[in-house]
Amino acid sequence: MTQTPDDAERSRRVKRSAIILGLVAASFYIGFILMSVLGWRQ
Amino acid sequence: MANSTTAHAHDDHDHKPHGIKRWLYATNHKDIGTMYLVFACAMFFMGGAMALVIRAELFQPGLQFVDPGFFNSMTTMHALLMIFGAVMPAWTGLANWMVPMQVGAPDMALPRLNNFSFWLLPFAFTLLLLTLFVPGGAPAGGWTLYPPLSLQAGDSFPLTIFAIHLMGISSILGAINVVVTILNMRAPGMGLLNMPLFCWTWLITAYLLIAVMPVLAGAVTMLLTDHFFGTSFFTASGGGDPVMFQHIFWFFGHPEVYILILPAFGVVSEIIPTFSRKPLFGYESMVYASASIAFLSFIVWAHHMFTVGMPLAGQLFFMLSTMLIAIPTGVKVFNWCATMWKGSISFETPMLFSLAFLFLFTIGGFSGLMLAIVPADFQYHDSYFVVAHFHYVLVPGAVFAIMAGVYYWLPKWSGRMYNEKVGKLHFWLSTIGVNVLFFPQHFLGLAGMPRRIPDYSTQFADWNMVSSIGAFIFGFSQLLFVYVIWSAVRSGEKAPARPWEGAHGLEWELPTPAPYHSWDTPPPRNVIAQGAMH
Repeated sequence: MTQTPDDAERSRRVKRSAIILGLVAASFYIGFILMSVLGWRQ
Repeated sequence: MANSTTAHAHDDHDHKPHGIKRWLYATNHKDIGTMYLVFACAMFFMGGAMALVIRAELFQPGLQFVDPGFFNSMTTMHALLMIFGAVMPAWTGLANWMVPMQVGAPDMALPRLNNFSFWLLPFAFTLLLLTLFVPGGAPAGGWTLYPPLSLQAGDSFPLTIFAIHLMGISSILGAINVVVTILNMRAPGMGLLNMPLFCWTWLITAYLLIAVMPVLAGAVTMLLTDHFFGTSFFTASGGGDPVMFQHIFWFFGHPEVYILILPAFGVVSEIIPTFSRKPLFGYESMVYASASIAFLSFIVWAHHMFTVGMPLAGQLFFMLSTMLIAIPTGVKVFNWCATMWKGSISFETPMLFSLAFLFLFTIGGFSGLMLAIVPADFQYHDSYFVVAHFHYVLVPGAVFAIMAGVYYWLPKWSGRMYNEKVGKLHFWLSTIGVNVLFFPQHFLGLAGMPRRIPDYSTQFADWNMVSSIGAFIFGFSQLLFVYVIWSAVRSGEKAPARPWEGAHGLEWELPTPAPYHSWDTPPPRNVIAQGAMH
């Protein structure tokens, strides 16, 4: 199956939004641990 | 006409892989959806067996069958299996089956990630179930994993933590896939406000998952480092604060409740209009109500912790914000009732389960309002009243909606009709059983019976006996559910493309059974407009 320009653009958008959402999840994970580390030191 | 042309378009390339590889290397959303649903069903029965151990032990006062440590393991494992193994995977299974078909997409946006999300789960739950056989037994400190109790677990501790991490990763990846699919793969012409409510509620659920599952992961990572690496996040002896764990846990835990129930709102919003033969009343208000519930779920977490102690301003804030959730929820209940108003209602099994959802979930909602009142909560906290409350929300709420969804879409999935008589028998036994099981627990809690105890004062004997009888009625009636599905798939009558005359939505424009590859070419705009009659 050949990819049309629309398909390629959609594929880029899919990858981009998946990566952004993954980064959001990772930042929540690290953020809460960091928040606890800082709270723990006080 | 649309049906026949679509059917023809799909006939010539409906090939699929065979054997074990079809499932191991599955990238087809329907196969992965089926695996999720079968997995959820297996976990539902395992978790249910644990619930029956609990109710058998509580049938009468005194210790009958199990020692108290094992009883505590059963309550903990029952919750973990039902929440993370049964309800969440069942919703992901339904999302896998329905979201691409409803938005006119050929598959999920990230099919290989989809495969990975699913296959993490059997490993996670194998690890969790293995804890039953390690020295010290399975985790017994409750699904909330509160330290310092959870830190005193035996060899089960690292296995449990690793299992929870795997479940979390699986959920996050599944949620990313749903968001990306809905935002990028909708057929041209399908705006966000043309989407079926099931897709909307799942989109909101997926955002909740992405936001809060990492918070749970962070909390259990810190438990792990407290246990093995000498940190003191939550251990008071090292300067840590166990109450901080409770805040972090419930920042995850309360939105988790809505993760379990929001897709149920979506399913019921599909079924009630179908069997009322009317469009859904107040479609847009349903969307905004779902989004409001999701937003509010982030600012109510400390209502689980009133008895821990907090400033008066904190108590007031969390009490009032919790009560606010009744407004968008009330909007939904009103809209479902208004949809049925003057409708031409028929009572097939999916509708019966949806109506039971409407009545019984509302009972769970009302007892939730009672628990939100701070001084009242001081009395109800950690009593059987709380157990009754959240089981009304989760069993006739989430579980009934899952069953309603399975009965509703099974003809489309399998091409076969289920036996309506046995379906209705399943419904009535489940509904009677669930009320006999959980309603007396309100009385037990109000009378002062604490939760998570294997033995109790004789004053609680009568209602415990009634509750246990209800548990066995409900538990064994679920075998009928498996029988109905099995017999339908094996030898049910052939289903037409649109088995429910009032059904709207793109999935009903596909032939029955839904072809292995659907919507390879996006549906035409007129088909979308026809399907989107809210």
